[in-house]
Amino acid sequence: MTTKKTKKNELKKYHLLSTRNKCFAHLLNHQNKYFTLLLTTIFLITYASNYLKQNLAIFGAESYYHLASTKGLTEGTILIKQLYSFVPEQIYFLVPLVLSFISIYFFTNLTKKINLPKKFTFVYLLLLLITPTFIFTLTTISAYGLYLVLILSGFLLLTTAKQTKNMLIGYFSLVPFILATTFDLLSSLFMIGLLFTYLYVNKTKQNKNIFLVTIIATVIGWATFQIPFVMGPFIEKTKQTLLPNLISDLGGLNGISFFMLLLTFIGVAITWKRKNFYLTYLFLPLVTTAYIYNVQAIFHLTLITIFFASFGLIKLFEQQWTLKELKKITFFILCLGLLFSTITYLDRIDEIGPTNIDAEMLIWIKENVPENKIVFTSPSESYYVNYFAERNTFYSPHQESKQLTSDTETILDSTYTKTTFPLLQENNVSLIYLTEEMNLKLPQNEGLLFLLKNERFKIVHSQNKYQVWMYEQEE
Amino acid sequence: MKKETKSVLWSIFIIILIIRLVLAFTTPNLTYESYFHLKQIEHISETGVPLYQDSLSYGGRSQVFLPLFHYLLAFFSLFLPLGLVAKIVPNLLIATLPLIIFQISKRITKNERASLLSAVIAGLLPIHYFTNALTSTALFLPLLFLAIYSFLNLKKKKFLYLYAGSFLFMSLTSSATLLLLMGFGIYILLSFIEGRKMDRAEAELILFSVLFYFWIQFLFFKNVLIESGISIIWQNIPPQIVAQYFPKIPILEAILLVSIIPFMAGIYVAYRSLFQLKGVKGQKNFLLISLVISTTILTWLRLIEFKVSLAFFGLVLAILFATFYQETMNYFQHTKSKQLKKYFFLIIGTLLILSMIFPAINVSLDQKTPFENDLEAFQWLEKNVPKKEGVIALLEEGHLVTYYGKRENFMDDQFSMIDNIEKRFADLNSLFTTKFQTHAISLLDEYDYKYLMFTPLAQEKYGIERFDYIKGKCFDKIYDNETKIYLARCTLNEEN
Repeated sequence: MTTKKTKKNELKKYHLLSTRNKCFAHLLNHQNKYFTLLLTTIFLITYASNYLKQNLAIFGAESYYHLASTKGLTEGTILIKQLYSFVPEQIYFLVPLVLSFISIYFFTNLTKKINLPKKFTFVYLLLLLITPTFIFTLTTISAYGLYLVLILSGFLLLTTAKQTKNMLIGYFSLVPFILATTFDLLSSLFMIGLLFTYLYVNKTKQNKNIFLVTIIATVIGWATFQIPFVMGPFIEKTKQTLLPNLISDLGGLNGISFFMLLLTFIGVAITWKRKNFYLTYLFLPLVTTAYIYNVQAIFHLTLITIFFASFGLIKLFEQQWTLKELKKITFFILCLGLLFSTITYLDRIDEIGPTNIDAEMLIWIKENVPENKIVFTSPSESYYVNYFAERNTFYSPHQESKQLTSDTETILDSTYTKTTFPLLQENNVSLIYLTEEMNLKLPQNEGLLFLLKNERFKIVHSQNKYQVWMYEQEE
Repeated sequence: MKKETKSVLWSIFIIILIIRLVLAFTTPNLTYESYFHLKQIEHISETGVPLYQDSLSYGGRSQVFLPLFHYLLAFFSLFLPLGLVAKIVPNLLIATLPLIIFQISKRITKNERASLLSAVIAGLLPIHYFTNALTSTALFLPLLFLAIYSFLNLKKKKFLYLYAGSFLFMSLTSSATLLLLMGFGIYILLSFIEGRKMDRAEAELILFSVLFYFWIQFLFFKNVLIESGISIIWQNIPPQIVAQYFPKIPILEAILLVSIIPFMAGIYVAYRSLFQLKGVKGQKNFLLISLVISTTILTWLRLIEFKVSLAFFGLVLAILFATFYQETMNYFQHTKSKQLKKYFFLIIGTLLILSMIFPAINVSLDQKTPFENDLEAFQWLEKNVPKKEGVIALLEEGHLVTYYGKRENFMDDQFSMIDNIEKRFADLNSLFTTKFQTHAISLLDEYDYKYLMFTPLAQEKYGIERFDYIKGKCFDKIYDNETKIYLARCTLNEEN
């Protein structure tokens, strides 16, 4: 009797991701509360660190790309443009927060409706929320943040229709699905993939119709409105390297944790021969190719990798280990590793910008410089210039022009007036906006900073290491 | 273990230790790179923490390294003078290798005589005879083989703890622990190819090791990773001297450093294990062979230093030699030359000792260490050069400037997180080789240095008698011995 009891206790001791574990069971039962708390904490940290660093609450180049579209200075996307033209500017920063909470709410509801195991929902959502890609997407004004809300609401309507057997609700799902095709082709294909998976499990006429209409909407959107394959990129060419943007620990703007990647490999290895996962593998080549094509596709890649990572994590710690003592330690290290990446990322979030000084300098340009002037600056700063200064810039990363990229590099690196001046002249550049980062990183005795000593340049405004230089165009 | 074997094994340990200590104390001082570690150990014993913000190296910089080795030596320096600790402890640690190698060989072959021969090889490997080098490899290698030994004995619980302990310490000692993980990866692959089902306990331990290793690396190198990205693993070594760290040593020279007999025997055993022996017999050496493959790959990718990989390779060969010996004895058993079996141990033992001891002593005597005279010049800096001034010396001598001279150096061999390292190194070379005074002065101006050292090592390295541009009134010779120190009086900048 005693031996049996001891054995039972012993077993309980090593159950980590099981409802036999009291802590885990509690987390599962109250997951909505905990996710709300986690999301609030992430937002609070983000806002607080930006506030303390004297940065603006809305950060990231993509945010300003969309905001500038409301002023007609960038193309943007129809939906975001419309959404932000209704919202007062003072509460722009609240929109990502609201969208995030809606996403979480929709996701947990959806998983309940499709009977996804509670454990999987919990682990997937937890890993998603602590992943830098998601933190970045949810806390900034991002097209994918809205896209997520749309596809979740679409599937929520579909499942509700199935439960209530109300066809009309089902057809209502077409609204968010069609709206979701307006972002980029990758997102549309991704959604079609998800719909196909859903259709594969629930083969009804209605679902088939919805699937077909979504495909038609995608084709029309792609052919008529020339939506890009992947939106962006919003960072300059030199920062578009594959590895750092994939693994956040290597200094990328977003990405996933190295430990998450390890878990993904474990997940893929475990699910490799399982028939149920064949459809999931279809997403892998799509998102991987898209990521290689444009690092902005990290969002879709993250959705898939975390799916496998969650599966890997659950399977790994659900089963009995031969070396029981090691199981807890390994789990503990894994948790620390995952948290480490999140904390390191949150610690760096205040480096993204823009700063208050950025805004002040650019508003100065808006108020003091004629409207037709073109501003030269670092490509990743261009969207801030578009939004605050309401001026066009020499080059923005999403334009993906090889010629302009090369010209930007030439202007930044060349010490010769014979090379730089004609480029400035041809492109009608009259202003040069230098940020603190540019002033610190660019060489002082060569390239653009050296050239600024030339009499054709005049400093017209400066604060700390931020400067606005006027270039005197030749008549 | 037989009593006789025990006493032979301990005798090997003591003899090897004595040989190493005699050689270490025969050669004056430590190798050039050792002074970095010496400085760190001294700093830990004074303050309790490593010197991660070094105001003297490169004129002030941040540097991160794994500090366990330095803490261990700092602990010993509480009881003994640091000079003694620096020579005794690394040699003591390396001398424990024969004991561990014996245990691993015995675990694989169950043959005590064969394992004793392995121990002899481990003790006399020429590549380990840099007796005056104070580097973390001295702690890393024993820990690595202790981990391998524990891994092979995983079924006993105490070895699980031993493995966890040695792996923990190893991860805090050197990033080269990666070679064990990579070896595990190849071990899994080989097992998969052979159709062998992976032992669950082994898989669990490998997973633990991978997670733990990367966690520790991320903890320590967080900032470097964010700043330098993946290039951290190439340590920011200037391209001009990459070959020095990852040299293309002629194969013959490399074989001599791990000794010819163990090398030939190792190749034979590896071939048999991989292609001829089936089942358990062939699998015995799988892990070791996997480790050799991983070391080769990592060296080829320039991820670990050539010296470390060769040192490791030599020890694996020592273990494989035991299998070779055992198989040869079995072969003799089945031939008419049974008599040979009696003398084979003695013959092969003598051959091994004779073929290894002389190259080992030679390696030790050939070590590059600074002379007393040089050290006096570096010590002179502390009393005679103003505190805020930096001193230009050879890359190799950078740590001597900071350790003895207590002055800022221009360069040393800790390259990580230094901007424009390639240009800096080229400029340092120019300062020793340029013939033009204006060029030298412009470089001194650019980096704001005024003091230059010219040591016998610089003379040997560049094949010059003196700085060619030192003539006229622009440079004063302020120290004149075998080493010379100059003070630059001129500048190309406008005077304030």
